[in-house]
Amino acid sequence: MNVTTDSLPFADDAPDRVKVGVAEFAVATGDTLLTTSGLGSCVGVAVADPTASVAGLAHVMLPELPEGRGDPAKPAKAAAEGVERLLTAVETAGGDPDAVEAKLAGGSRMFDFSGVGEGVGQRNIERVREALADRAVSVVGEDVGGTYGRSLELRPETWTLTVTSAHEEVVEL
Amino acid sequence: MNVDVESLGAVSRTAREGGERAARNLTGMTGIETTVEVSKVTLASADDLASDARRVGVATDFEGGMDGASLLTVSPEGVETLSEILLPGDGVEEDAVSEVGNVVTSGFIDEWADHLGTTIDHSPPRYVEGTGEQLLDAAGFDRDRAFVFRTEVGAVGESLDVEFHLLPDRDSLREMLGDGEIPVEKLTTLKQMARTGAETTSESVSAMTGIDTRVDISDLSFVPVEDVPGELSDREYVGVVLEFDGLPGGYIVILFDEASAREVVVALVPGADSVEEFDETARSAVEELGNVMTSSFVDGWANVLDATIDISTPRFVHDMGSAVAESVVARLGRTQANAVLFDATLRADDREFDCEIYALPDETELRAMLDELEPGETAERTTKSGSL
Repeated sequence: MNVTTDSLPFADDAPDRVKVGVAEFAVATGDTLLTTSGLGSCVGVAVADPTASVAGLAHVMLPELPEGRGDPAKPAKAAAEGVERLLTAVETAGGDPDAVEAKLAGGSRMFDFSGVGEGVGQRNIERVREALADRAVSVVGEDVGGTYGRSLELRPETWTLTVTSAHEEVVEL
Repeated sequence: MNVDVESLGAVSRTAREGGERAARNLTGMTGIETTVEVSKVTLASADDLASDARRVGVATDFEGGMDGASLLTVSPEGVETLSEILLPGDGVEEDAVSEVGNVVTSGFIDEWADHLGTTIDHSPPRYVEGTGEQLLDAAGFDRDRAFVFRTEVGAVGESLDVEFHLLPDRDSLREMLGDGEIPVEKLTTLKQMARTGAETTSESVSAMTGIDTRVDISDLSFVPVEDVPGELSDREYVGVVLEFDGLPGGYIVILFDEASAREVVVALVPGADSVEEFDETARSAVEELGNVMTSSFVDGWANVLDATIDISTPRFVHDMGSAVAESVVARLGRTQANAVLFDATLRADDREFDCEIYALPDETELRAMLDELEPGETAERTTKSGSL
């Protein structure tokens, strides 16, 4: 079992679960779980080559970066860059680009205010969809929008994305 | 010393990477999966850093590419966890803590050395124990230091929390942070204003609910926006988010843990004995309290700045704390890479009570406000008008 992230070296002894932080991503194979929590307006992007049991999970925060302020340590901060890096990493880990598909969760609207930040969840979803479409990756499942937070658990072996939240039913994608 | 928010954010990133390296060292030693929960650059103030809880740990001095001291501490429960894993048997806790402390401290220091492209030598760790203040004294904490780097590493599924303070001396800080536009003295004034606001807020809570609260911890810190949600756990909280507008604008987040929120509602709603669901009545009560708390917090600022700060109506939230925080910083993140975060915790002496207050001003507007601000202004106002 291999686990890669941008900040971690290849681990010989892969952990059972890898936590993906805000604006980060990770790729895993087999029965190593990828998790991320506290998705509000952010979008969890799961991609996998189901035949190869290779999957990756990104926690995308913004539709685009403020004035090109990229941060190499935070590869999944914005939608387009995050999706690009995630797909590349899945391919590097043995995923076939033609077989890769995606599942999305998050992008909620937890409260309404006016101003520049309004609708950031919805725009996150739109930008992620565009970035996936640019790479001809189809979205095969999604649990997006709403007004509540979500946590995700991705199992590469079965290509299952489990979505939990405080008050809603568990969703399996 | 003058600083800017960008350079504070940049060193905050290095601090986080140091935390991640230290966490890997800890995992390597113990086999426990660990994660960096909090990592921030905080404006130093001994009062605010010192908590009453007793902890044990190690202190070191370091010199070379950076000079200063460090303090790594573990709670008593964490010590038990470490001893069980590393050195089963009685009376060896001190050895277990020293061994872990040495390896984990090296993780932090090595990352800084790599980042600075130099070497940093550190002294053998000294075993220390006591309350927050005693520990800081043991580490030789010099009250004059401007910034402190604080990192918390937690374990998944085990009772183990490691807190690390990196305390660079002033000259090293000056070298790291370069020469920015904001005098540190103004940040100190800002922090005092926020602290005073938090105290007024605490008084409002006590007056409205009859629960005798006080400000336990307050911090002014500088973190990349994406690191703010880590300040809160995935547990469910109940509270409000408000937007404020003026100089500066920004957001206020007030979150009670569920049990405290229930107590607050019982205290505020006539005839309510217990709260099962947060229904319309309960929500209105939380919103009303949040409104008064925010006014209390912001009014002091408006007085000092001789300006008007408008606050929005409160938006009720009952959800994972980190998801609430994330939705706020995603808004700020559209225009700024780093956040200036003020946070305060309200507690009660006679019962379990937990209320977290976060203020996140717009960075550009905050800078404009600091331009106008005279250092020490709060202190003068406090004297003139008596106790705020």
